[in-house]
Amino acid sequence: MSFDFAYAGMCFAPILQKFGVTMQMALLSTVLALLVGVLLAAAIETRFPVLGPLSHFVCSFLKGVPVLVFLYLAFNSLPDGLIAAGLSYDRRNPPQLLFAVLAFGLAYAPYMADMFVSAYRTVPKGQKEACMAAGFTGFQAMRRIIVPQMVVVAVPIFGNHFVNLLKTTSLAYLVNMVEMMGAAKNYATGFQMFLETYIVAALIYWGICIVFDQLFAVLERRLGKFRERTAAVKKPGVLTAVLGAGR
Amino acid sequence: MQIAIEKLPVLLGALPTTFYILFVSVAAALALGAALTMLKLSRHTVPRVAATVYISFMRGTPMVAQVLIAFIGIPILMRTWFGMTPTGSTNLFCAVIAFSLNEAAFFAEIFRSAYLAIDKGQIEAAQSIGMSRVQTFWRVILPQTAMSALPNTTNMIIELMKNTSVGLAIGVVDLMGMAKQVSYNTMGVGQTPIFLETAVLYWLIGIVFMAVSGKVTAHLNRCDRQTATVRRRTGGEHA
Repeated sequence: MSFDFAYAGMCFAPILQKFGVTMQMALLSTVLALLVGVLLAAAIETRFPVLGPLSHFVCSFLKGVPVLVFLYLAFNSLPDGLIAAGLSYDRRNPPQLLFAVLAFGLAYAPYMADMFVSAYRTVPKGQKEACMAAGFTGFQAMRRIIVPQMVVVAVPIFGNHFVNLLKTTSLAYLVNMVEMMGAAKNYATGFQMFLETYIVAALIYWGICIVFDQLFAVLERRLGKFRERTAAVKKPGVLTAVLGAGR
Repeated sequence: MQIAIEKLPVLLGALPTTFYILFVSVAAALALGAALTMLKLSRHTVPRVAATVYISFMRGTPMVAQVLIAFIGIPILMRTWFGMTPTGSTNLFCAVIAFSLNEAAFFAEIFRSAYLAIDKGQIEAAQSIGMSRVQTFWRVILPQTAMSALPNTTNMIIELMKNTSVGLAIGVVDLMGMAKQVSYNTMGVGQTPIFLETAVLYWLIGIVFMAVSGKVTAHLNRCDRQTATVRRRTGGEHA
């Protein structure tokens, strides 16, 4: 078995060219997931009679279905839906990004909703009552008191979900969308050397995930500064994060 | 709608494959994950670094990429190491190996955090009354680690059940693969009902799994008063 390192070195460029597409998909899907997640979380936390169980039902469905099924539904069924809604588009150039963002955004919305709900519940109830007593409007209370505390709790969870979403965007190549994984497949098909190309693609995703993990760790540390009560302990660096610290 | 009802038996016929993949992968991943945890908690650098790099790779690369690499790489490895050439399709075999290796990394992290949550004083107490290391492990460490890790482990298993749909990329005919084949066979006519049906099937299986795991966890933790109170208060939380 021979591993062609020279060819593997050539693979990086074509795959990284599509990094923009992957990031675009990931960011837009995250925004959609956050928006829908906020709605679902608000429905769970409200005292309105029917919204809570309805939201739980929707979350359960969205969580129980694999992302691939959503992707296929979006790419196969939405075109007919778009035409039925009266919007037309060029059949040779369907809005793939829209379909992908819808699929990924909806698939990750319940996880964002869970994140919002758990972050909201970690803020002590007394603070919310104090806001009411001090005469804050709901919006003022959220903006000044509740949301800053929620953010600190939510950022690690959000970082986790974002990195997972980034990896899940690789599924889009199965519906003929050209992002990093699709670029890898196309390049490999040209040379008929699949193993090296896929390993390079995996390494690229691995590197990106490590970078984002570190970014979110830095963000976590900076946001949580108000909670530090002792002298700050230096967090382990990238090398230790990857290779592990001694016990 | 008609087509969905017609094709339901066909889709259900692919369920055994899905469950086969799930059970074999979980069994292998549990064993491998436990071994990985022990490697990662080792005092020697080489096993620890190797385990950490492995876990980081498995968690940082997409499932699709791992499945594809397994599909292409495993026959090559089998040929060069064992001199075996595949007769028949290698899809299922490679998919199961890929899922096991991937899941083992996640299980290793779960087991490690469960293990580190045990009070070291218990281990010291066990050793002070003369229990051997093996006895300490089986009677003190393992039961508590298992109880602590059980909810997360069952969550990961349910996630794996959803991730097995990725086997589609290498032609595994599980529930998702069968749905794709059915949609090919009908020339793309009834795709929406078929995929919606697949979604509902996955959802129902997930609900059954979650209900079973909830019951098992509650039963095994029945002596824990805190759990009992939580159970009463949040009866409708698990959807």
